Amino acid sequence: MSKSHAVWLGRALLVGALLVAACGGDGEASDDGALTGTVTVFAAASLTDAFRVLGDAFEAEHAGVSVAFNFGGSSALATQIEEGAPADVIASANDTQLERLSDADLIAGTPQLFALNALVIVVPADNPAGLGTPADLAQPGLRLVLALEDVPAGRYARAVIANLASDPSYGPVFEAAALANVVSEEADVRAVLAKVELGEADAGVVYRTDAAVAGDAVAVIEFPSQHNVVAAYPIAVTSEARNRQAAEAFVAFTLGEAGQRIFAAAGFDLAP
Amino acid sequence: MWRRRGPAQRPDQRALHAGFAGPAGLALLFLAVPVLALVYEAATAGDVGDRLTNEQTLAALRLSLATSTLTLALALVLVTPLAYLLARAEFPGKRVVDTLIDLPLVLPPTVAGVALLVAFGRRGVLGSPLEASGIELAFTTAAVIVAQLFVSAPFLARSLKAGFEAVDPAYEAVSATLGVSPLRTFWRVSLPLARPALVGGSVLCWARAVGELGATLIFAGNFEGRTQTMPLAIISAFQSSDGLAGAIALSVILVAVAFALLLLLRVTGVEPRARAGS
Amino acid sequence: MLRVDIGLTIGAFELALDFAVDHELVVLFGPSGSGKSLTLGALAGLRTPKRGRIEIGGRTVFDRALGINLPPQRRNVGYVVQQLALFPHLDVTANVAYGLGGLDRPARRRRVEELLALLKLDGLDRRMPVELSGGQQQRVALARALARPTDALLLDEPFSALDEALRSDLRAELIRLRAELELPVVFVTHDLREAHLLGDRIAVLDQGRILQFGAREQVFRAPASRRVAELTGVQNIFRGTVAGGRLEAGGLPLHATVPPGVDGAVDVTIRAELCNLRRFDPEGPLPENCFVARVTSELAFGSMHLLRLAPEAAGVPIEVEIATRPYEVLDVPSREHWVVELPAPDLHVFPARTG
Repeated sequence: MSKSHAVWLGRALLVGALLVAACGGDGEASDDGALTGTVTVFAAASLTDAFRVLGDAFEAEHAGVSVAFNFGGSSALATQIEEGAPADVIASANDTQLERLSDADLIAGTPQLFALNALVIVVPADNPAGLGTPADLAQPGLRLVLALEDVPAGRYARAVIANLASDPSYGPVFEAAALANVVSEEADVRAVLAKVELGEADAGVVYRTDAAVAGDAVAVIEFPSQHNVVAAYPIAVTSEARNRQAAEAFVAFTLGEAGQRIFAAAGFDLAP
Repeated sequence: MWRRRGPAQRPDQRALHAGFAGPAGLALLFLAVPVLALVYEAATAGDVGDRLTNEQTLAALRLSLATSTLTLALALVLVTPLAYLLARAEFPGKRVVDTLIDLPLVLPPTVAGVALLVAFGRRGVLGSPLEASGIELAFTTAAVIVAQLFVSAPFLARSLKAGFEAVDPAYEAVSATLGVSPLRTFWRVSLPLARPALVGGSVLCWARAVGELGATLIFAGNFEGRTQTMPLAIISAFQSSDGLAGAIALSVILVAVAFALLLLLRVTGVEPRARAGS
Repeated sequence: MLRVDIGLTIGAFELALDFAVDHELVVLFGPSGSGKSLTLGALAGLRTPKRGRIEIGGRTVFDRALGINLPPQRRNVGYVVQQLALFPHLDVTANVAYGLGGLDRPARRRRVEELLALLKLDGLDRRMPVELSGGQQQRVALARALARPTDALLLDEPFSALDEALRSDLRAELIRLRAELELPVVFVTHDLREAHLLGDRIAVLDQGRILQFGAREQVFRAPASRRVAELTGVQNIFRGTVAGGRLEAGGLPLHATVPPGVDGAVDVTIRAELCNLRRFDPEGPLPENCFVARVTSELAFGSMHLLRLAPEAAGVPIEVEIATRPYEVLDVPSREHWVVELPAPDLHVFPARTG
């Protein structure tokens, strides 16, 4: 192609890209009060299924609004919001991120808890190591997989094990023995689940909702509830929300009866 | 290309080729087996067909193909002059520039994404003035292209620079004495002679763009239909109820499409065309 | 018409030239590194001299003082480089037509046909360079250089990579072309025979300077210095003296034309092929410039023999080149003593320069 063609092409591409870049407005409430536009929800990856169902239900109830989801790691989401991402609502897998955003004045009002997620032990469906109770985590030769300690699920898992160790029926040796069985630490709790599903591990500690996803591929062993650690999920409207009305409605929906039913169905425990 | 095909292997060469075949086979196995294992897993799970017709998958596939193609086109336009200058021109700080274009390769993709966000995000160094004029780059489809371009352009740059360096300056000199301007010489001689490098670099660039995940996640976000390319859809499937099986199925779809296109690119790109009476 | 008067520096190498070429073929002859290719580069506009002036076809293409420096595109020179640089991705027609962008298609086609016919390349119009023989590639390069109207033709050792038979053919082509073209042609070579064959005039180049520039015979038979003699393959170079009108060189008394004013230390040269070999007749008197000598060594080339003879009286060895037939007629191997004649008209005397 000739020089002029190439220059023209380059310019066209650049203009095209910029046009794609410019977002449409997110909309506001119309005059008569009905919600319109888009509400952009940033949510932790572990909330993917539940929030998709929630989003469909919300859209069904508010015909003029569409929900756009951005699922990701809670820390990454917080970083994005700090850098000016156009989020209206943030739902995180732990408090730390929302505290961080709150300190930076990026949260409107106070975050509210909308769901809890308890930890469970998962083993492959055929249970090759023959686990029956949580005490079996200390079984010698067990291949145990946990999430990394930096990841909430990993931190909580270790906390549960420590809690159990303080119980006389388990004994202080339990903690060391269980932790000695850890053959791998994953950056993502879903990876823990995957390893158990694939039979790469004899046992893993994941959220109850994760276990629900794997269905028949894994079997679940419960922790005693008095020692269990439960992850609390907060949700909040961002201070720079472009569709404040719809955002608040969404948060209300999440906390309301319809929302809570959806979370329960997904395996979450309900917020107090 | 326009080289004569060499004569058949000599006996002494045959011995070397036979000796290399062993390690070469191992290397090939190493590269192929994980991919084949994925394909096998997906085949036994049996739902690849359903996923293929799923709207979310199709949206992700379309987005991946559209953005990576645009990325390649942009890369070609932006990188070619740079590569040519690095190969031919002398200027102060040339070695610094040369090293600079390798930087995106060194950055972990997530870090690259953060860098892009800090530069072009609404609060960013360049992002704030852009936002003031009503242009938002981050968290849009354009951001996907920017993220892909950032991580894949260096591949094209390296390959093309080497390609231009391999073009004998004598050709350009002769072209000048024949009355052809330096720019037309570039189009008629330098670029065509650098074609293998252009194709090879394009293949690498496009492949890297298609596979791009970390920077896209951070800079463009994971918005279905808008920024969720295939790699992002695969990660999302992993996180959702689709789980591992879903991730595997989507991965196989991506691998199959990418392989077909890469092959096509290589085959059509390297074919020589003798032009008469240019 | 081509006029050059320039100075050019590359690193530590300095080129300084001053010469003119009319409608003739001038050979730039010299050893590697003498600056021959650099000269062509400067003429073509690929190198910029730091001082001077270049005029081609009546136009000033370079003048440092006036700030004129036409790019190669505007100099109208045909340039054939040593490595040919045929564009490997274009076929013969496209290569030859490369510089003809200003013409429309039919005109281009006609011109290409003309050139292919001129250089005996008919039928090869669609071949790719890689499919051509060395000689064919050379001719395509020539055709390409001649395609546009040119005011001068610059050829940089175009035949150096070819075998002897091909070289002869192409030299003949070039001579024929030159007659038709009426252009100044500057031909660079380090091959002595080629220089003699093609050059109307020869410029002997060494270390960036022209040591001698003149008609072919003059340069060969009357070298201006010892160095030129060495470079032009003169085998007999004798150091001598002129004293009181008498010349003695290489330990031998010689009669020769001594240029007026030349006195003291001199160099005397005579080409080996100009020396005569005669049967030694002990009875007869020795004419002037004849010496009895013994053959000390012999090199048998195909068409001639190079003999080294040592004079009986003291004196330096003399090399004599004798063609095969005379060699056989004289039956050189049969005798040891011969008479070597250094004909006076062929002796060239010039002052010996110190250093």
